[in-house]
Amino acid sequence: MNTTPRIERLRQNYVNSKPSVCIERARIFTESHMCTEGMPTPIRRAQAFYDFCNEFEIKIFEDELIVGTAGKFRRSGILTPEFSWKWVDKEMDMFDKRPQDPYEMTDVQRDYVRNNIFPYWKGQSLEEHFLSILPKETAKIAVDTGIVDNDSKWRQAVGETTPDYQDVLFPSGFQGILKEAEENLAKLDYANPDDLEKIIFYKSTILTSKGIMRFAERYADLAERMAKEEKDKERSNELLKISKVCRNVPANPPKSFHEAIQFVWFVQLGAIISENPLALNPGRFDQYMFPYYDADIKAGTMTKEDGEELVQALWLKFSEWVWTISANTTGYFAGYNQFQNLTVGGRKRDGSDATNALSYICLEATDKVRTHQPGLSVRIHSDCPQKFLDAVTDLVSKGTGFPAIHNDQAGAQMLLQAGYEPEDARDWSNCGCVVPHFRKTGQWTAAVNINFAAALEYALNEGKSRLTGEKMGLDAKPVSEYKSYEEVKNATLEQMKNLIYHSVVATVVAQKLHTQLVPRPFLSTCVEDCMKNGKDLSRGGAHYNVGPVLTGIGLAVVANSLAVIKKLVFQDKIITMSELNDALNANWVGYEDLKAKALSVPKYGNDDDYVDAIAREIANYYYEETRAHKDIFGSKFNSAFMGISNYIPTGKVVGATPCGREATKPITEGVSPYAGSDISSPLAAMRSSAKMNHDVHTGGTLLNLRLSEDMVKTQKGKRDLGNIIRAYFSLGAFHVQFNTLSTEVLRKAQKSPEDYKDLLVRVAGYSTQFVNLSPEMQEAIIARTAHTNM
Amino acid sequence: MGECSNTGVVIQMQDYSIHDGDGVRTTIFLAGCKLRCQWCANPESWTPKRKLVYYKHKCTNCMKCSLACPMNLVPCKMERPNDVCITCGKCVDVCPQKALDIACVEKNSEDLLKKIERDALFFRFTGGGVTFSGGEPFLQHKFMRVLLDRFEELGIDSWVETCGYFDFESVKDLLPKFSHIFMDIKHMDSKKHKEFTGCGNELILENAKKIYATGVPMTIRIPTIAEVNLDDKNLEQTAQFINKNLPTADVELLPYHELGKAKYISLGIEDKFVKFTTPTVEQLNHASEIFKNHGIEIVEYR
Repeated sequence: MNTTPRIERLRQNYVNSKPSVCIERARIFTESHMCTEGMPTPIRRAQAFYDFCNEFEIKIFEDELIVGTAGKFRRSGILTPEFSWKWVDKEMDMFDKRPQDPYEMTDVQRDYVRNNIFPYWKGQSLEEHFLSILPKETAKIAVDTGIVDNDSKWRQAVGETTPDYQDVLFPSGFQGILKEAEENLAKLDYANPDDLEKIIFYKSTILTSKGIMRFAERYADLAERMAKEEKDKERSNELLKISKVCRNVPANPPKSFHEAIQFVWFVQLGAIISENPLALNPGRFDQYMFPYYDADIKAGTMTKEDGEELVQALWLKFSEWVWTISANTTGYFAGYNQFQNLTVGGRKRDGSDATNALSYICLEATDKVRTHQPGLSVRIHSDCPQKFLDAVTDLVSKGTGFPAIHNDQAGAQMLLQAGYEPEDARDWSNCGCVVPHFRKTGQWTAAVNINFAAALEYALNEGKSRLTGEKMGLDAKPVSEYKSYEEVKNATLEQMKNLIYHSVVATVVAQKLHTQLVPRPFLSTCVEDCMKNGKDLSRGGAHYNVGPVLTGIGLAVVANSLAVIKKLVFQDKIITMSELNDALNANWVGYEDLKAKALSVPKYGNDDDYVDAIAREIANYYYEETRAHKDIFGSKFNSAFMGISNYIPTGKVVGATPCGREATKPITEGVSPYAGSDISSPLAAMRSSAKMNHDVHTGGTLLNLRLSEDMVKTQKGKRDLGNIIRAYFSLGAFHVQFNTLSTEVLRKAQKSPEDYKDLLVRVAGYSTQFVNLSPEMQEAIIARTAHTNM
Repeated sequence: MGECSNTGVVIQMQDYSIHDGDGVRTTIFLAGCKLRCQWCANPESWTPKRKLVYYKHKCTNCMKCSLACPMNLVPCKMERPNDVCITCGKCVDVCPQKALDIACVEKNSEDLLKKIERDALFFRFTGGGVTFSGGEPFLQHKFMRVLLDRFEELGIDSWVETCGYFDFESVKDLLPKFSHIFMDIKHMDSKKHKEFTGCGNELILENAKKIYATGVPMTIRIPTIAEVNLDDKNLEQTAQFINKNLPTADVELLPYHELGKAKYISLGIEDKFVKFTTPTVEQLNHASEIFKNHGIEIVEYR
């Protein structure tokens, strides 16, 4: 790894330091809110933002080129009690002990937040409002159940935004945004009832714009002071440069590549301070950054190596901050993951190839620094340069799990289906893990996870959970009374429909509350048309408002299970529904023969139409049913088969399933096969996956495959893999991502985690350090079939 | 036009093969071979006879196989199952662990084509196709004849990997249908060849010349084994033979590996496994140099 010594030191620090909770953001926000009682919520949130920017004790750490943290530590997680303080109160004593994503937190900090912060938010948080309104029937299946899960939308902020550097931020700077707000405000009239909301909105954006500029100015001052005191001449000059950079951005349009990079990091920080967001995406980084890179290179003011170092420094910044989340949420989003998705390659708005020098520098940066962030995505189009595809498969061969590889045309098609203009559709980038997204958009791209396997269970168990016996689904007849496969299938779809309905309820309630309780003035200035419309992003101010995404989990488990029922019970008639039910209740114990029979029925992921057709039918139904609902802006809900780490917690609450799966074992992510059942080859798994109509699932589809490292060791292997990806995409599929690690390596990493701290693996829609995963997550990764050649 | 058969005995169909020619290929392993190379990694391919395969590491000793066996055998406890087993497959059906299997199953061309047609998508994008291997695939020339015609119709590229020990006359009509032929030359000394493979090399060398004369591009594959054929004398003679008789052919050196051992165990013939030594990188480089000194190109399909 030939990085500069500075990057290597920063990298070592990132790899070796445990994230710590910093309570400063919570303290300053709370104290600010105490002073603004009675004022409109947007103003209060904006004032709190300003106060943080003005008061937080900022630091510039050793070796840093890109500066700014949202907490006192390099690797800080912050608290946002206005969203939820309860889970923190409940869980923080265990923060450093929990198996997945532990944080450092001191007793002094704990005492402080319990005595001085949480009492203020009692009864005021988004969580409490949400739970007080949510209908009981919905709460029963949607609150910490693993059946319908949207807790990241009421214990956390939404995030899921791609700041618009191209058309908003870089051209105007926050000085320009401030000016626009003041000019618009001057045109409004309190006598006009329609103007009041706008007046409040503009005032809030004036505060946040001033806040982020104040924040940068303070870094400029600090850098200048530090430069004076610094004995090392070289570092002193660096600090002076940092000071100069922070004097100009993000107030004004960047004048250099360095300034543009620092601008991006200040915007990320602004969003982090505002709401501790998930999926705050840097978007098409190679596109909006290239003009600055190119100009500096041509002017001779920056070398290619300097440019690479800046990109790598930003990668480390993306990775250092920590998205503080509950233990429940870590089950769905494991690995300190913040889902800052950065997309390179693809086509330009006019349809021509967009690949440039920075596209390659980004791929190399991920290889060199081995950070888990940004979530690096590439868009591959039919006429993409072979050199770019080679660079992509080369990175795949390194076993980092990156990049997420996407079909450019499928992404554009998904956006067209969602109602975007063609040029905008071509300009898509990824949000979070695998959601095709466009920067001028307000959308909840990961609104709810829906457990398909639970729907199947309720159809087969009279509406009850097999593990607890509790009635969770709709009424269903005793299993022995099913007379045909069609009846079983329809009963399953009926239960799915019910889960979709409750997902919609939980989303709409949360959406409404977000508009009232947690408006987003800072992010509203980063997304086009909020300023023109005088409307907050949370209230539909963006140019496009697209319906929330419901993610289906367990597609393969349900398809495999229905195939078993279809074949063994109704076609071959070698078992009865009652026998199957007994076996499931016994978790297959004493029914090994039956289990063997179930396992021998064709499984999704092997290009066998018998079961793949069932998967497609379920997916199509899911699309239709999801689209039948509308959100608070009148936008239709969207379907998705993405993955996060959600296939593990959702599996825990489901008993044995007819496919041969045992109780509580993981289910399946995205359109991926069940772990270990894609025994044919990755090619067959790709063909199965491509049978789902990817283009209609506009919330994204995900296929994860593991490849033995031997398959991509050589130039030929890499070239072949690139062409396989082209073939897969020709079928209309959207995404594929590879883990190319040997099981042997992973076992070694389990035994001596100390030696494998930087070993990245793909979890689902993202990669993270293998050693940061809980033992059961590690086992799940290993259990994925490693496709090995003979 | 030679004889045709719609069925053949297939050991395995391996898709996503990247080591058996250009691009991504599906390798069709056909059963049956006249040679008995001591280092053979595919002992199930020696005869086209159905064989019981038993994977001990999967077995839980549940004994269901013995209850199912019409011959009253205990499939999971037998020394040499294939001496007595009638391969009815009843034990395979009942084994909950999939610890038993039948190798060398007869397949018909239509079923095989269905699979190939699905894989063809990947052939088109990668410049790949089908590679026949084995066993010695030409022993099933009647089956190959049917398949090759269909592949030609479908525009699917075909390669073949042969040990060279077959009757040339019965397959010569097939050769022009291949765009590339891999052929093994294991040893230039017929006595040694017989010692290690059970057969002399005369027919093989003769067939090499005849194949070369068809004009189909050839790669000579040499399984490189320290104890067998890595001495300078043999390498020099091999290079001279190629130079003289197959001047445009290139060479691929395939280092010996022990991965076949598990198969001997699963067939209950572990005693027939002979352990050789995998050549070192230095030995391989040295061998390559000898061929290069003769102006022969060394290639790697990897």
